[in-house]
Amino acid sequence: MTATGPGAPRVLLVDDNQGFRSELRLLLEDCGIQVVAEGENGQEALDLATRTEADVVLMDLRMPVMDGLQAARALRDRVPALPVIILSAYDDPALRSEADAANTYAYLVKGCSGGLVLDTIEQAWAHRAADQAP
Amino acid sequence: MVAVVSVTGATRVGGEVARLERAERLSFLLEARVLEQAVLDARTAASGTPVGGSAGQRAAVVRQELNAALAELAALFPHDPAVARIRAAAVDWQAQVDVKHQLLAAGDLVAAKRADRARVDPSFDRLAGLLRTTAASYSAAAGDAQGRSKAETLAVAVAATLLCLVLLWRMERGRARQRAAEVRAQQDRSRLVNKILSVAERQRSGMAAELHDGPIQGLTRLGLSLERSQLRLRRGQPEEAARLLADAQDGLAGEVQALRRIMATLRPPVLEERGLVSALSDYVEVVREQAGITCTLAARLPDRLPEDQEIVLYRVAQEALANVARHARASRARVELVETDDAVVLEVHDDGVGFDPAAELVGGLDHFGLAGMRERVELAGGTWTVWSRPGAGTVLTATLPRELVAA
Repeated sequence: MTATGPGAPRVLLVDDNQGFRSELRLLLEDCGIQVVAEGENGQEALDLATRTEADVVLMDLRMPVMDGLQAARALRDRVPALPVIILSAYDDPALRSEADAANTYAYLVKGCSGGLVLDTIEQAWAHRAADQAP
Repeated sequence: MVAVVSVTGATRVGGEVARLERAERLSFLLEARVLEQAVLDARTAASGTPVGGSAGQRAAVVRQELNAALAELAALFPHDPAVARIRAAAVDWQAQVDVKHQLLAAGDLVAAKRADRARVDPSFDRLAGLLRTTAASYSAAAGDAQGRSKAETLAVAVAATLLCLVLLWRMERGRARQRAAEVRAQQDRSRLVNKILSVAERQRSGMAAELHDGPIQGLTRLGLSLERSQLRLRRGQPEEAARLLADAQDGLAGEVQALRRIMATLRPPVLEERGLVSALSDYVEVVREQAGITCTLAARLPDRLPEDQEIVLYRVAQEALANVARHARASRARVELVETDDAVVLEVHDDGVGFDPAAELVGGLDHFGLAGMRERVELAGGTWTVWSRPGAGTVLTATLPRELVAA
């Protein structure tokens, strides 16, 4: 678990469970990661991804209105450089496979350590930075 | 003329027209009884259990009349071997039907079906074949009859043959109806099984969603909270860490409570331990507290019911009261559970806004899960009715026959 400085990743956090979202936000912010926006479903993720300057999207799968996989596919087409990390309650190989097909950066299962979430965000951010380097 | 009069019986006596006429009437009676028994047998096959109640009493009467007619025919033609053979074949057919009913009563549907094909059908065919042979013999011998004109004999022979053919046709039709009833029964069973599987699938899906949205999210959140506590400790902030741990402890108690609620929904422990009346009493209390409805229970049930029936009645009451709480806008609800000589009856009354049952059930809207309730009760061998009218409340009744309850 690392606390980063001013150059820390900016995260768009999308989950329909408000309590979980709040707790995760507190942990991320405790570790120096900035949560630039929160969304409750995939549709909000699409809107916020284009309106905010998020470096990484951390998103649930099962959500109302639009689920995480649909949103990930749409983000892949609209903002291909934006890495999407799925954080789902389902540890399901078929869903992992679908998430891979949607070109998501990682698939994490809820219940994993906060440290793993933070490390994955850092890696995704570094990956994005490397891709965008001239 | 008669299907059961043999060559010798018809030709031996010159003035036996009256006897033949009597035999003819008997043959009509026999025909009717054989057909009726086939239909009752078909109903048995359709219901999957031996006929009971009024149908069972009717079956006994039919059998009595059939045997009386056979006995009278045998008395009219005591030395006629064809009559004796027909009588024996009829007795055998009934015996095979009895065996099938015994297997059904024992709940062995597979063996009953096997007996139907291996024993009942061949026995029926033997009886039909004897009738056919007798008609043909009579027809051939009638030409040699003494003391009658050729024309009269021919007319009698033709009439006998035609009657036999009609009888056979009707018997075959009865058997075809039986087959059709069996096919319908099989289709009904398949439909019910599919419904049950579908309902079970919906329940599993609902339970998965409840776990996903409830305890899994809650416990994951607690995990994050504990990580924040560790972080505080590492940063030398023990008081903040202690506050987070105390919050986590409260949160954990809440999640355990949520899991208990889910467990109780799956199978209320009180139902298993203390029975239907106690379980209903607890549930009525919950409705009273949570929905603010004056909800009462009046139960007269001296003994515990079989487990399956307790579950059926509990789920119906639960669903009905959930509907009252959600939709009825009622101020009062009453649950009644009574045992009569032949049934256990559950009634749920409310004084709410009511609805149009036809639109819900016949119109296929089913906002209130009525079809599921009805299927659950009918599958348990009972009947389910709902009475309601907009503005006049609702009465829902589930009745389980006592012989099934005691099974």
